[in-house]
Amino acid sequence: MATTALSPRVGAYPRSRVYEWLTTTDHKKIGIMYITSAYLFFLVGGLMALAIRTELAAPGTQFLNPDIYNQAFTMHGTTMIFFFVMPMLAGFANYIVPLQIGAADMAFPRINALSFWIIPFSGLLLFSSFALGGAAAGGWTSYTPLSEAKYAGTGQDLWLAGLLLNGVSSILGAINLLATIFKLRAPGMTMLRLPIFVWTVLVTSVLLIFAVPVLASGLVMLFIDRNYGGAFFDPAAGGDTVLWQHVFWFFGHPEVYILILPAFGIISEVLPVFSRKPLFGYKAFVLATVSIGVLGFGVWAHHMFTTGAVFLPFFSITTFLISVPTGVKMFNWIATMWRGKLRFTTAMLFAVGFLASFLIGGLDGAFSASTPIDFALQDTYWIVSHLHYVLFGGSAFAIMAATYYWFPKMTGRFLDERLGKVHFAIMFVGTHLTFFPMHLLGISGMPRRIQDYAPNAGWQDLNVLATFGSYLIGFAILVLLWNIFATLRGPRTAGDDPWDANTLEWATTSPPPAYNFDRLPEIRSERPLFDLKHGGAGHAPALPSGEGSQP
Amino acid sequence: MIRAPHRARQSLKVVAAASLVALLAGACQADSAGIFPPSPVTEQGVLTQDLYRFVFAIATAIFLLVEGLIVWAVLRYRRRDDRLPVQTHGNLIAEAAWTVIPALIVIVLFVMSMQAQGKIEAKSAAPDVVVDVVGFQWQWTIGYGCPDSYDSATNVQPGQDCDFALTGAGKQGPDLHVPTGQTIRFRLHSADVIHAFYVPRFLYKKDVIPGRVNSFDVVVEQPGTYAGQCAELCGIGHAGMFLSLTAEDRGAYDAWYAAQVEGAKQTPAPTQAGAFTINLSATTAAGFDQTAVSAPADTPLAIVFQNKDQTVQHNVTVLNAGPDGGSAAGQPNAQPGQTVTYAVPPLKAGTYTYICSIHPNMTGTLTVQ
Repeated sequence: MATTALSPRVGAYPRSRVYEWLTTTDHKKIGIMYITSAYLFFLVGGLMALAIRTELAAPGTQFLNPDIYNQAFTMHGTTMIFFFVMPMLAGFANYIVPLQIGAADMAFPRINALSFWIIPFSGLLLFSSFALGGAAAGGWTSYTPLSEAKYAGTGQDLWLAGLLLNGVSSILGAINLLATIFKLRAPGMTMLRLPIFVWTVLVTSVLLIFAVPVLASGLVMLFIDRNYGGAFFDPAAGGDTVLWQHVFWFFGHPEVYILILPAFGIISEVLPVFSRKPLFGYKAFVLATVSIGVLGFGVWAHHMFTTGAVFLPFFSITTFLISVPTGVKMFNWIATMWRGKLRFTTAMLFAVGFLASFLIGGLDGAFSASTPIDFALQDTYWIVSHLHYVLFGGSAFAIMAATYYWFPKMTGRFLDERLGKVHFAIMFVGTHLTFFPMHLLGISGMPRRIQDYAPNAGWQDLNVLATFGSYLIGFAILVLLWNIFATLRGPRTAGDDPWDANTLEWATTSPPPAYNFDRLPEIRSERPLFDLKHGGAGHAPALPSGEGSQP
Repeated sequence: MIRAPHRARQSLKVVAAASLVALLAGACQADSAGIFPPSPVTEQGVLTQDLYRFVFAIATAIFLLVEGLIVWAVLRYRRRDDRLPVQTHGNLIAEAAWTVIPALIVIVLFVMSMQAQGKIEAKSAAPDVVVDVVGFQWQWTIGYGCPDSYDSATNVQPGQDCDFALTGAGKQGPDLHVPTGQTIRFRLHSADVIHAFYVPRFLYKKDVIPGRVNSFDVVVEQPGTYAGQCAELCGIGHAGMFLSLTAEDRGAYDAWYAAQVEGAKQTPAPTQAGAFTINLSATTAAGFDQTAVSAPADTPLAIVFQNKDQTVQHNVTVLNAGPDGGSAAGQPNAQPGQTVTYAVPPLKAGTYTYICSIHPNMTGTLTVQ
C-alpha cells in the first residue's frame, strides 16, 4: 500500500461519550447518527410492510382491519421515503462527501447537527399520531379531499406537521452540502474531478431546494384548509382538489430522483473499485445526472394521466425522454465492468443486484409513460411493483452496497463477507418474489391500497408468493443486523484502504480522525488515490497544523 | 476474506436459478393473471392491448440484452489475477450509440402512444347511450336517462330527474347494463372524495373527482358480465366498492331498460314519519359512549348524536345501511358541543356497525330486530 500511514488518533475527550454524541458537530458522527436512525425507521417501516403483506395473503380480514390497514400503508410509505431513504442517503452524503473532496467538515457544522436532530423529532411527531386517535390514512400522497378535515382526523395534521419539519431538515442539509461542495474542495479538486457520488449529491441537493418548498407550500395550504377554514382544495367553495395533486407531484416526482440519484452515485463508486477500472464515460455520466435533474421537473403529471385534467402529450414525451439519460447510466455501468477484474465482495454483489433489479423498474417506466397503457395500469398493483423495483431493488440495494462498502471506513471493521453474501442472496430472491408477482396482479386488475379482495378474483396465489417473498426480505434484514452486531464486537482489522479504492476517503485512517486528513495526495483526476498508487503521483504538501481545511 | 470468487459464482448461480424459477412460477401459476392484460372487451381496449404487446416486445428485448450483458460481464470478467486491466475511460462512439438509439426507440413509442390515445380518448358527437356514474363513500349510484345538465353538473343525485337509478343495495354493487356494439358514454361524478371508475376488462380507468365531470366513450364488443371496482383510495370502505357491468345485444338491453323504468315508478319514496329515536354521544375520540344500541326493523330511525368532545368534530355513520348499500347518515359532522340528528332509512333485521368516519376506531353495534 503506497499510502503513508497516518499516525495521530484523536485523544480521548474529557467528557462522556453520550454527551459527545449528543452535542457533536463532526460530520462523521452526524452521518453515523443519520444512518443509524434511518435504519431504525427502516425496521419500523418494514414491520408495517410485513403486516400489510400478512393481511393480503388471504381474502377476508385476518390481521388488520380496514382502518388500521390504511394507516399502515400510509405510514409505511411516508416512513420509507421521508425517514428511511432520504435520511439514509443524507447520512452517507454527510459522512462521505467532505472526505471525498478533501475537506475537514461540512461548511456549516452546527446547522448540520440541527438538520440531523430535526429528523428523529419530526418522526416522533408523525408517529405520535398512533397514540392520538389514529395515524394519517390517506396514502403517502394524502390526496384531497380524503385528507381534508371532513374525512381525516388529527393524524393528518400530525402528518402535515411532521413532513413540514422533515422538509426543513432536508433544505438545511441540501444548502449545507451545496456550500460544502462549492467552497471546501481541496486544492486540485475541480468540478470535473469530483467523485460521481459527490456529483449526484450535488444535483440531488439542487432538486431538494427547488422541490421541498413546493411540498411545504402544499402542506401549509392543506393545514389552513383543515384548521382555519381555507378552501384551496375544496371545490364546493371554489377551490380545486386536483391542485393538491399538482403541488404534491411537482415535489413528488423530483423526489423520486432525490431518492435514486445518490443511489446511482453509490453504485458508481462501488462498480469501478471492484472492477479495477475507472467509471466508463465520466463526463457523460455527469451530464446524464444533470439532465435527469432538469427533466425531473417536467414529468410530474404522469402521475395524473387518469384525472382527465392534464395535457397528456407533454408529460408523456418528457417521461419517455427521461429514460434516455437513465439508460446511458446503465450502459456506462456495464461498460465499467466490461473487461475489468471483478471482485465479488458483498458490496459488489449488491451493486450488480441493483443493476439487475433497477433495470426492471426502469423498463416499467416505458409502459406507464405510454398514456393508453397507463390508463390500464394506473393505481393497480403494477404501479406498486414498479415503484418498489425502483426504490427497493434500486435505492435500498444501493444503500446495502454502501453499508458494506463504507462500513470499514466508518468503524475500522469489515462486515462479515460470508454473512453478507447470505444476506444478499436471500434479499435478492425475496425482492423479486415479493415485487414481481405484483406486476401480474396489477395487470389482471387488482387495485392498490385495498385491504381485501374477493376469493374468486384469482389473486390469492400471487399474493401468497409476494407475502412469502416479503418474509424472506425480513429474514435477510435480520442477517444484516446480526452481522452488524457481531462485527462491532470484533477487532478492528480493516486498514486505511481495504478495498484498493480510488477516492480520497480511503487516503486517511479508518475511522478517520476528527479533522479527517493529515495530508492529501495530489489531485489530478477523479481518482487521486489510484493515481497515487499506480500513476506515480506524490503527496501534496502537508496541511498546516494538522487542521485540514477547516473554514 | 475479500476474495471468494468460487463461492460468489456458486451463490450467483443459485440466486439466478431460484429467481428464474420464481418468476416463471409467478407468471404461470394463477389462471387469471399473466404477463399480458386480460383480453379486452372494448374496441378501445383492443388498441391498448396491441400497444401493450408492442411495448412489451421492445422492453423484453432490452431486458434480455442488458441482463445478458450483466450476466456475461459477471461470469466472464471475474478477477483471475492481480494485473491491472486496461484503464478505459470512455468511448465516444459507443456512448453516442447508446444515447441516440434509445432516444429513437422512445420517440417511436411516444408517437404510437399518441396515435392510440387519440382513438381511445375520442368523443362521439352523439353517443348511443349515456350512463351517469356517481361515486360516494363507499358505493356507486348509476343514473340512466339523466338530463343533459349532467354534462357539467358536479353535484348530482340521480333520482326523479333520470329515467331510473341503480344502486348497490343488498348486493356487492350496482349491476349496470350496456348494449354491445354501440357507443356508450360514461359521465363520472363524485359526491365526496376522489374515486376511480375501473373495469379491468376495458383496460381503462378514469378518476371520479368532486368538482369535475370526467367522461369517456367506449364501444363494448364482447357480450358478458364484467367486474369493476374503485381504483382510487377513498377511505376505509375502498376495497368493497364494486360494480358489475353486463354487456348484451340491443334488444335485451332495451327490455332490461323498460323493466327498470317500470320498477322505478313503483318504488315509494322513503319517509321519515314516525321515526324511532336513538340517542348517542361521544366524549373523546377513543369511542362512542354507547357501543351497543337496538332498534325495530323496517322503521325509519333518527339518531340524535350529542358531541360532548370539546376538541374535535365527530359524526355517526352506519355502515352498509344506505338505501343503496352504502353507509347511511354521516354528514354533517357534529362540531364540539353540538347535537346533530341523523335520519337513517328503515333497516332490515340484522346487525349493523356504526362508526365515526373521521375516527374509524370509534365503533358500535346497532342491532335491528
